[in-house]
Amino acid sequence: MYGYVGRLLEIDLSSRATREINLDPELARAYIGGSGLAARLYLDRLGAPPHPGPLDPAAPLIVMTGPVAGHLLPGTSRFAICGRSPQSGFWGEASCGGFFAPALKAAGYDGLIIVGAAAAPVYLLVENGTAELRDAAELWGSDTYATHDALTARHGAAARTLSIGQAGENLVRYAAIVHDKGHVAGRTGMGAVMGSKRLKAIVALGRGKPPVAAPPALKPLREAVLAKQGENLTSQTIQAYGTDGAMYVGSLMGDVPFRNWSMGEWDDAAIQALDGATMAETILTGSGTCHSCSVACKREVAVSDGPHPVAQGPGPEYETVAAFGSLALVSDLKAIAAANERCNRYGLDTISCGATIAFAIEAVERGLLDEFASSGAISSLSALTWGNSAAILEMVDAIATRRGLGDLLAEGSAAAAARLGPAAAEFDVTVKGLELAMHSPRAYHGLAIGYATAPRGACHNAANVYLMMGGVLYPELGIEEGLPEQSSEGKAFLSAVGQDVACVQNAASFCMLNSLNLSVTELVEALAAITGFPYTLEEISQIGQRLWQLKHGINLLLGATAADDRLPPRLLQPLADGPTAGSVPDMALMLREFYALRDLDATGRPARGRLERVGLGALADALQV
Amino acid sequence: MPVFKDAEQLYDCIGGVLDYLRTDETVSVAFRKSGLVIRFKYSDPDSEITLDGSQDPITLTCGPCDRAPTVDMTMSADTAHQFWLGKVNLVAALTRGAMKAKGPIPAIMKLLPVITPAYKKYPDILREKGLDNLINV
Repeated sequence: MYGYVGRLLEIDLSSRATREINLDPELARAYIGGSGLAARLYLDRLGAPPHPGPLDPAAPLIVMTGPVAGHLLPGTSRFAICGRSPQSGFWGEASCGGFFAPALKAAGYDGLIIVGAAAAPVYLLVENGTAELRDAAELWGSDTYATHDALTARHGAAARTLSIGQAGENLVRYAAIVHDKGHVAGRTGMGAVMGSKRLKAIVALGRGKPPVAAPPALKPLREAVLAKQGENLTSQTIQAYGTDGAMYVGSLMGDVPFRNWSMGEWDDAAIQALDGATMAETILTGSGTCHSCSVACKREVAVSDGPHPVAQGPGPEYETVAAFGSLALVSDLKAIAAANERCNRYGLDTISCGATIAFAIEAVERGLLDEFASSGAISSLSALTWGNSAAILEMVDAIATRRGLGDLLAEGSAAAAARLGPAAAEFDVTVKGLELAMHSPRAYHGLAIGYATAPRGACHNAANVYLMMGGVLYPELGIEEGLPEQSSEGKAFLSAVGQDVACVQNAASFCMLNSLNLSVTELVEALAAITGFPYTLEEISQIGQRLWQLKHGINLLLGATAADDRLPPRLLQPLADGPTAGSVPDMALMLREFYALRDLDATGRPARGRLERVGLGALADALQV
Repeated sequence: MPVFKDAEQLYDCIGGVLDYLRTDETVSVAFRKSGLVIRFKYSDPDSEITLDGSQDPITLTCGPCDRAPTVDMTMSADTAHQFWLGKVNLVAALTRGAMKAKGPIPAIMKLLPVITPAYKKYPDILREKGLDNLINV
């Protein structure tokens, strides 16, 4: 095979058995890799109900690379970690950049399928086509940075690691898996799944590299992407200021959330204080990159003064700055950098953690958490107020260790709201149990339908809407011109096409930020050049549809209904001020159009014919449609 | 039909808001610090305005200017009008080419927070000139 190693490794942690599986080329062609191939492998293992819960030993955890990972095209670093989400109970997937994907392929495997649970903590060493489980008792209890340091001391600096911190060990429902230091597979709680298996870490190292089918075809593609990148405003801004370079300009569009999504505007100076340009002038020490990336969006920061020092290391990106900043009305970048460092070390998703704390601040304000006043989570629960960064940082610690109120908040906003009663549901800002990413569906109505119908919950990357609202078009697929941001007309089609493209990008291992400069036609050419599969635009478009239907279908098998495809009540309330004043997405219109485009009935179930046309007859059988 | 009937009217309106920025204390300090020379090239009507932050005081030239620009911003006069009314998705406009920027983009983005207060001033400038009818076009 080209682009692929051609081998997967299945590990049963309960029996300590490992099994190599040859990757079927037809399966690879049809599902590509990443979360796409992982979803197909998950479906194959799902069996008849009752299905194992997310944290049951039988639930698989799948680490999957894509064919472009590790090759010399910009932004070919990604991989996916997938399973049943402890946050939603539905399909879960987390995407991560860095260097692990090429390292795993170098170690001899395209992906890992992990089932069972170890009797005692272990780590998995994958090296040059061999796999071994090793004792991790000494590592258990360590944060991810210390774990990475210990493992590279043991296996050499070339070793690439995935690890969980205390949050994953403590089964925090939004625990992340951290690659090396600061590359994070953050969303949907895959760190908790790993923790439930008592798998502390995975180490990959090796010297292999799958061949490319048509190397000469890659060079002009690479040059074309780099040329476009040099002229692309967004790429240049991200290069200079990281993704947080979008903070101020985003606020002008109403994209940035304030005060748990309840305010339309905030103090201009406070927003400027959070912008990537301010970071560059204050705490920035350098930038970092992933494999084969010329953008280098990663921030390196250090804070030596003030109450929250941060050691030189990975800094916050936009989502983190917004989640711990604007959402909680904190305008102190140094404190946000400290929150980022703590989340990275504990292994916590910064979006869900910051959003859950913002939810808790509002709950404190409304007197809904009075019973936890002496829970010992933080020194003074009444201090958990808007803008109080010290109390917020304390709460991060309490969540990771499940101390006092932290134990409830470790379950996530939706579970906490359910526990606190109907009054809390009003300001629980989640979709399918996943806290919203930091982009407003009031500003971009296409995001609203994108969030509501993303299989993993409120994901901003699932439909590429914010890229399209930022100027990216897909003329080959019918998205030829921009649409008004605060209008719901035509947004169902836009989101459906965006989902199809995003599914393929994710499956292939392309970084979303680099994909700004890669047209769909070039995406097809790149996949064909690397894999040797004679992909066409039509086939790639059909694969995108297949992957979305597959993940949606898995959700249905796991109990999802049309009621889960919705936006939380708070976002359907218009704001009184700011750039999105009065803007409310028309969910009824967009859902009606979207369901028609996807051939879903009113209950969200797909038509058999549609599934068969995209090669999902087996899913149709499982769904009994 | 274009918003501005001729270059003179554009200089009066867009030049007016740029002149406000030139003389505003906060903006002028930040702009001087950037050292940028920005040339705005407009179409419909064809016209250009240069804001020179390399000099103290900052100079504004409506019409052709000898100073070599460090940044060229090219757009239609209608887009410029909508921008100062705060109605343009800046990132989309730049990405899709409705506004073209040539020069150090990060430096331009850094000036954004400094110039956006003029969104509120621009309608006042139009009103002062008796051009209220242009505010909602």
